[in-house]
Amino acid sequence: MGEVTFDKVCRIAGEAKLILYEEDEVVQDALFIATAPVRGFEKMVVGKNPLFAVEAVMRICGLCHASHGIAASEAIEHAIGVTPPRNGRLMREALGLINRAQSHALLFLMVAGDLIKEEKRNDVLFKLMDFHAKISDYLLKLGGAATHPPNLTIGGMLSVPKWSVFNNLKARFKDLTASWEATEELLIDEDIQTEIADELRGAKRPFKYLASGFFYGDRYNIEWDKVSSVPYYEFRKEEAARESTTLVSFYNGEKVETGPRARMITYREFRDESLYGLHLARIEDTRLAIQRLGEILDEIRMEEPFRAGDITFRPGKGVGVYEAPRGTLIHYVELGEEGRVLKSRIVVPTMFNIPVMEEMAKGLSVKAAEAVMRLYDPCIPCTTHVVRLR
Amino acid sequence: MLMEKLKVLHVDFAGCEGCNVSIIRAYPKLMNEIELDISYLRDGPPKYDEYDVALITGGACMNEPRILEELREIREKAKVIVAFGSCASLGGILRFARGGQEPRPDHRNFQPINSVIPVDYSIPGCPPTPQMLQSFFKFFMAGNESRLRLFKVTAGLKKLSGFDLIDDIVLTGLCIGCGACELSCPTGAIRLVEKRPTIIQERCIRCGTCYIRCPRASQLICLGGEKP
Amino acid sequence: MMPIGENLLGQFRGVYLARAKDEEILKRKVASGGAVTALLCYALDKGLVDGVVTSKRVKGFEGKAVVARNKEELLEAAGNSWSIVPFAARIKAKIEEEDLKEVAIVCLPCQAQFFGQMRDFPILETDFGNRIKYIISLFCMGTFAFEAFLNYLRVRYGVRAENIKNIRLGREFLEVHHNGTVLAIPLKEAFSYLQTGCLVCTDYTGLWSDVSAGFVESEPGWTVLITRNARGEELVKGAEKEGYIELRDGSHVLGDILKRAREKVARAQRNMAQLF
Ligand SMILES: Cc1cc2nc3c(=O)[nH]c(=O)nc-3n(C[C@H](O)[C@H](O)[C@H](O)COP(=O)(O)OP(=O)(O)OC[C@H]3O[C@@H](n4cnc5c(N)ncnc54)[C@H](O)[C@@H]3O)c2cc1C
Ligand code: SF4
Ligand code: SF4
Ligand code: SF4
Ligand code: SF4
Repeated sequence: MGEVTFDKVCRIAGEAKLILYEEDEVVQDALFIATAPVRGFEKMVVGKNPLFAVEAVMRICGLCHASHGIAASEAIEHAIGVTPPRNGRLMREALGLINRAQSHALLFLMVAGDLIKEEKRNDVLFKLMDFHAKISDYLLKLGGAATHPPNLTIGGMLSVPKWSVFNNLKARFKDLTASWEATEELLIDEDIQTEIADELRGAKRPFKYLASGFFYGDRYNIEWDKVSSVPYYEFRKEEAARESTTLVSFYNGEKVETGPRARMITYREFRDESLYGLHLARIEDTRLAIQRLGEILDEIRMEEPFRAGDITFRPGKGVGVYEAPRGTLIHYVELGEEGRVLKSRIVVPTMFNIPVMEEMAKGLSVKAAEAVMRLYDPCIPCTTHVVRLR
Repeated sequence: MLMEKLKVLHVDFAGCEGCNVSIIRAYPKLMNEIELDISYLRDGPPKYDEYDVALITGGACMNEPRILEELREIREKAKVIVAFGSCASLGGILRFARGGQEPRPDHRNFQPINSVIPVDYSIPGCPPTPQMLQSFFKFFMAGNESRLRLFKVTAGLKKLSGFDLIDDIVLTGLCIGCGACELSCPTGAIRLVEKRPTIIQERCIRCGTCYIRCPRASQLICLGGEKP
Repeated sequence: MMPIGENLLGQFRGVYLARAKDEEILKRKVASGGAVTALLCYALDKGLVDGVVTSKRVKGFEGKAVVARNKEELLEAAGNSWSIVPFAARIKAKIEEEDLKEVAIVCLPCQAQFFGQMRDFPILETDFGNRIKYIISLFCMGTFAFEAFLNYLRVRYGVRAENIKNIRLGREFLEVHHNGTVLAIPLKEAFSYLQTGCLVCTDYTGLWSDVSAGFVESEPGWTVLITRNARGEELVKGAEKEGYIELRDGSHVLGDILKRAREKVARAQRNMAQLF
């Protein structure tokens, strides 16, 4: 049994080590070991005002910042019995979907190194960065910043853009869609793809899927008390696992895959259950997110409020479940005296996906196995801050 | 003779990726001037043994010897070190990290990069925009030291935030009510009321941009080089 | 922005003495030569800018940020408002409300530093430096803590804020024009009412501006213009070529300006030692 070790996996979000056990070029097992230091956001927010908690958890991850902001706000609203008004909920959905498109654009860049021929990668970089800049401007104008949008807060929107801003964004929507279509063309053009892409097309790998909704997510679509997490080194007994700085999670005691493919198969007629399907599902996920954004811009009624009025922080427990770019994201929160954070637990999609990634690597070539790790879009900053549930 | 491209390395330490995204977004417009060696675009370890500039993002976890070792190696490999983003330059949100969290409760102290190695330029921002990085390289390659002085001086400082601005400038009576701080805060944590700034404590993430944009504060740190 | 050792006046291209040629401008109570107003009229007329953000004196010492789109609106703003202009947030709101793409901003050195830094180093996405084409900084020895100073004028001299028509800075006196008469207050006395923050300010001419404007005693009726870069140079030379301003070489007054700049830095050092 040979061992191929990547001390620092490139082209992923964060720092991780990958060990592939192979026998005559076919991977028998894989260890995906996150090595980034633990910044400890759950401990960080204890004793703090919930408003700070939302600002802080966004900084867990610069790729899916809005998702953490939304899930945390939902959990805190659930704890204190507040629901954002219609406009607030729609704007939050819009900010989340913009962030989904941003995050996917980054992931496409990272997997370009695996799926797309060398000479075409610069084209992909330019197209993706052009799209990323255009979509990010929507988050700036609606959310107040292209990263860590400050307008996203408990009860709805902190400040509301003028009507002229909405009109401006609607007028530019055609450019945004055109920029995405030009990017999509490159991402699905099989003539410029590598043999890794061919191998993944041939690898039929259905699995059990977890998704709490398509565009937004819902705490009542999953039984969040069926989620359990253990440190990685209790999940994998190998010596190398000791080095890991993350936990892994299971649903009903079982491994589940979450993310674009899970969403597409659960909520849309998406049938491609090959590993290449992970790539196609993310492309669909992006296109549908942009379309939905366009609809939301027309559904906003300026004369209605954008934030709940009566927000008083008081003791309570709450759960926020949101469909982040990488899959189902869960925030638990318990507020104590004066509504300060007493306890916070966060379960991120990558915690569900790490066991699945290791499973999917089996039977593939070394190159393809490495690519599959990226196709699950692992996010180490998100995964390395969490605490055991019970 | 085409000007040799600057060899630029990017390394991240426990950042959130937000700053990394800013850097990769800035790259297309910088491709003629610099060759960026960044994890997003490569397949193996860093390409060269020496670099003209190293962009470092994220904060240094002081409880991980291998990280401190790697930072010292980068100091050797790069002529100029730029701490990009509030985590790397002033601690930012990592100032609030206190450790005690599984599975690594020992990771309890995160410092800006200049606590481990000397830094030449520190650019606060959470994250700074891609345009900011493009501007930095424009002035850096033109050798315009005077224009970059503020980032040179910030590289010597370890902590700047809205709290520091209130203590150093407002409560000492040196504030002139110009309102620059209010416009430089990403989370709306500092606002002028009756021509004087007040801080909304729970919105401040300690990014430090209000401090370096305050004309009074930036003038004082640029004169003395240390905080008043 | 420079350590004191470096040149007090920062980098600059040229030093000139300028005066508005348009009688209408000179008729208005301009601060010195009306050159700033004339420069801005040129920029507006030729479409170099789509708006000018400057300050209009409203009551007593208070100034209000205004956007001038034509000569008439500019003329109303001529002269000085001795408070620091309403803060940057209002200026940003004005610029974004009218969606101005290329503005000229007239401001004081501290604001010139903020706008200049934002333009060169856009750290935040909400920065609007890309909309600022010209930064024109006025020389500045300080602005008043105007509530305190107005109260002093009322108590000590019976001058009410609403009656103040104009304030002019002379060599030894601050002239307060009210009800048709002029009250001359010794500078030392008036300057004790400056904002404390101004007492530690070291930037006399506005190092981050494109053009700095002020006056020297030896050349009454003329404005000193310092151009700091190609952009500032083109503005001033263009205004001259198109007949908006009269221009003379100003290198002979450089000494005076340096003297006051050094005075301001010395004052700052004295106060810094005391206040920290
Ligand atoms: C508070 C203050 C202190 C000054 N101190 C000095 C000094 O110590 N030494 C010196 O040489 N010159 C000083 N000046 C500059 C001088 O008073 C004249 O403004 C300058 O010489 C330009 O003259 P001008 O006739 O060309 O300007 P004008 O043609 O009269 O135009 C002046 C322009 O400046 C604008 N403006 C006036 N006050 C402000 C303000 N507070 N903020 C922003 N814009 C404003 C007006 O709206 C107008 O557009 C000071 C000016 C101010 C406002
Ligand atoms: S400065 Fe902000 S964006 Fe950059 S790594 Fe730190 S938290 Fe993320
Ligand atoms: S007040 Fe705002 S700009 Fe200043 S450190 Fe806090 S968050 Fe950053
Ligand atoms: S930027 Fe500085 S001087 Fe201006 S209002 Fe804020 S604290 Fe006061
Ligand atoms: S003295 Fe300095 S701080 Fe005071 S108003 Fe003038 S430029 Fe601004």
